[in-house]
Amino acid sequence: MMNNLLISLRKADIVSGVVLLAFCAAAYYLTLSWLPPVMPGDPGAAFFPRISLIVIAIFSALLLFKSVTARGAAENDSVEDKLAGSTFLNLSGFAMTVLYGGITVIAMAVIAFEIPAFLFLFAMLGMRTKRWVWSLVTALATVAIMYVVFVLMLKVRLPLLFLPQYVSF
Amino acid sequence: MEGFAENIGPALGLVFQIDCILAIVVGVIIGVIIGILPGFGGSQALALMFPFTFVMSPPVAILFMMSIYSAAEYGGSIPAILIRTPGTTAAAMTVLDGYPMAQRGDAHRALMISITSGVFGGIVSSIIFIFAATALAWIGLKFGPSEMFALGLLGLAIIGSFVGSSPLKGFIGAALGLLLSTVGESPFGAVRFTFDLPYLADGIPLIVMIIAMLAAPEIFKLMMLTKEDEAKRQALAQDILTSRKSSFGLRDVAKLLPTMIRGSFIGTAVGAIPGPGPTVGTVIAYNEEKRWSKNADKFGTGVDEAVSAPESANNAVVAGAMVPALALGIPGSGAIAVLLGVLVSKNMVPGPLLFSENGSLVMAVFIGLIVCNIALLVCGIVGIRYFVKIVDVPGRILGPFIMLMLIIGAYAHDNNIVHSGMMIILGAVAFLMERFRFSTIPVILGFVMGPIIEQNLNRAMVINLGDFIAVISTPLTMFILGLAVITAIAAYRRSK
Repeated sequence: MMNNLLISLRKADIVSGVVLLAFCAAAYYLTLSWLPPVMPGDPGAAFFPRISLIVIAIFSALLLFKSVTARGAAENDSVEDKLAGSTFLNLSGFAMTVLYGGITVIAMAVIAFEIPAFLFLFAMLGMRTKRWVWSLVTALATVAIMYVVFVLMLKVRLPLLFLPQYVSF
Repeated sequence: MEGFAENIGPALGLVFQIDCILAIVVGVIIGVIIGILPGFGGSQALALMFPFTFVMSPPVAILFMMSIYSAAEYGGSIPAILIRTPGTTAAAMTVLDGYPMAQRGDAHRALMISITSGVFGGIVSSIIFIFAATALAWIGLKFGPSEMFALGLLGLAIIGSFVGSSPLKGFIGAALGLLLSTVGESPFGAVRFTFDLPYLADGIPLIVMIIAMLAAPEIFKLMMLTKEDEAKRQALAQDILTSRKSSFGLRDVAKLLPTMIRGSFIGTAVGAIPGPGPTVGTVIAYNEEKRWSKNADKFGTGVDEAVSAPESANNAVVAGAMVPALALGIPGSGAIAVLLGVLVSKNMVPGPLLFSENGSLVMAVFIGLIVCNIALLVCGIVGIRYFVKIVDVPGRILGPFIMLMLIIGAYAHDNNIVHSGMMIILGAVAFLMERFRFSTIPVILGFVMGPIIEQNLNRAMVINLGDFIAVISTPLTMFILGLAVITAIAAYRRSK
């Protein structure tokens, strides 16, 4: 899987401009199916979103024009100049972060808070530190603290599998 | 000073309740700790703590969040001085002389200058606004729906031009924020951009947007830190704790008094303008101090005044920024947008009426800021040796804890796990936006101000029977819109 990508900002701006213009066109098309205004003077539900889309489209077109007409990196540019006009993207790290977060959220929806939260922390800490016993204890303690703070003190109704929603003394 | 006499008593009574004092002290400690973490400033600290305000009363919630914001702005200076990594963008100017001071063993002195100057700036600007806020609110009452619509656009034009690497990208971000605010049910009953998904009917929750746009990108970065990046961070952090302790006493404070006064006034003035925020305030303060100083040629090598000026301005901006936010409903920065979100979540609408209907609460905000700065001084002086240890915590370990907290925080808003999923998706988009040099602050500002702008535009259109030209033709509206256009054009030309 690709790791650290060096992306030219000029190319990124061109792609961003094209994507934004396409997005504006699609979103504007969606607004055509909305109900027309009913009250006298009422501009209707589509008025403000259309203004926003037109503004985005105008500035995206300007961004696209500016990027297309800008000078790209040349062969004899210094490394510092090339790096200044680029950005790094750790694609695999980004994808894994989204995946871990997404799996944790879906798991919480299916099997409640305790187990996914514990497994997420245990796995993340274990992989990073290689200290599995420490990770186990820390993950357990963190889940317990979050339960006390969020559920018992702040009365947040987290989905719980085996811990009680209320504790009375 | 109409309203001052009748509001000061109840305001003092509000602030000096035990729960408010506790909220201020806890907020200061939390704010400093979060502000120390590189990448986490006032905006991120407020976004992280927002869910906790759901169970607080309005004055406690507001004072808690104000304390966190003020303390986080100071906290950002600590890694700026110690490891050349500003915790907030506003602390970037502090790096210039704070880090050289730390390198020659004067880290403790630099930190003491930072805390003293920051507290001074915060107290001075709070006092100014206790007396000036009601007058500014009176001006706000002269604004009708057309003028408020134009003012909202001016605020976005200023933000778009000042924040981020490119004004074009700033304006795109602001307009995207406006568009995202229209998702869900419209004021006149139609449903927009929901794609028949029931959980989008109420729109995107403010807390989800705030966490996704402000906090999530930094968490993604922490989660993606490699061992090499972490080793570099840790190597820098180890240098801190071995610095020798230089004295800093009242005589030094007296010598820095003119600098602190100048920085405070600059920060106060900049803060009152919706848009520039602490970063611009610190830049102007640093430049002005260099012009006044007899040691101008030594700026950048570790000069006391060069640390003091931006630090005073940094904290002075906080009180200043509250005035257009409370009086006109225009947040001047991402952090102030979150603070407005707290008000709205407590059913208190920012705007001119807030001063007449909740004058004592507004005054309590500024008195609370003074108390907060005093608490910050005590915590800062006592806690310096302990706070610095936070930078020692590896980012790769911190990341998972904070990510889990964000997931729970997004859920806690409405007990809906879909919001946690929304936060992950929007957070991923925000991370990519920042990678491609699109700042997310204009997006969040557009999102917060979108409903205010649309509501005022709709009202103005109904009043003028649908005639948009009539809406923008009042003298004040045309003047404000003209300013917005000039700001946008000037920013675009400056970027070329």
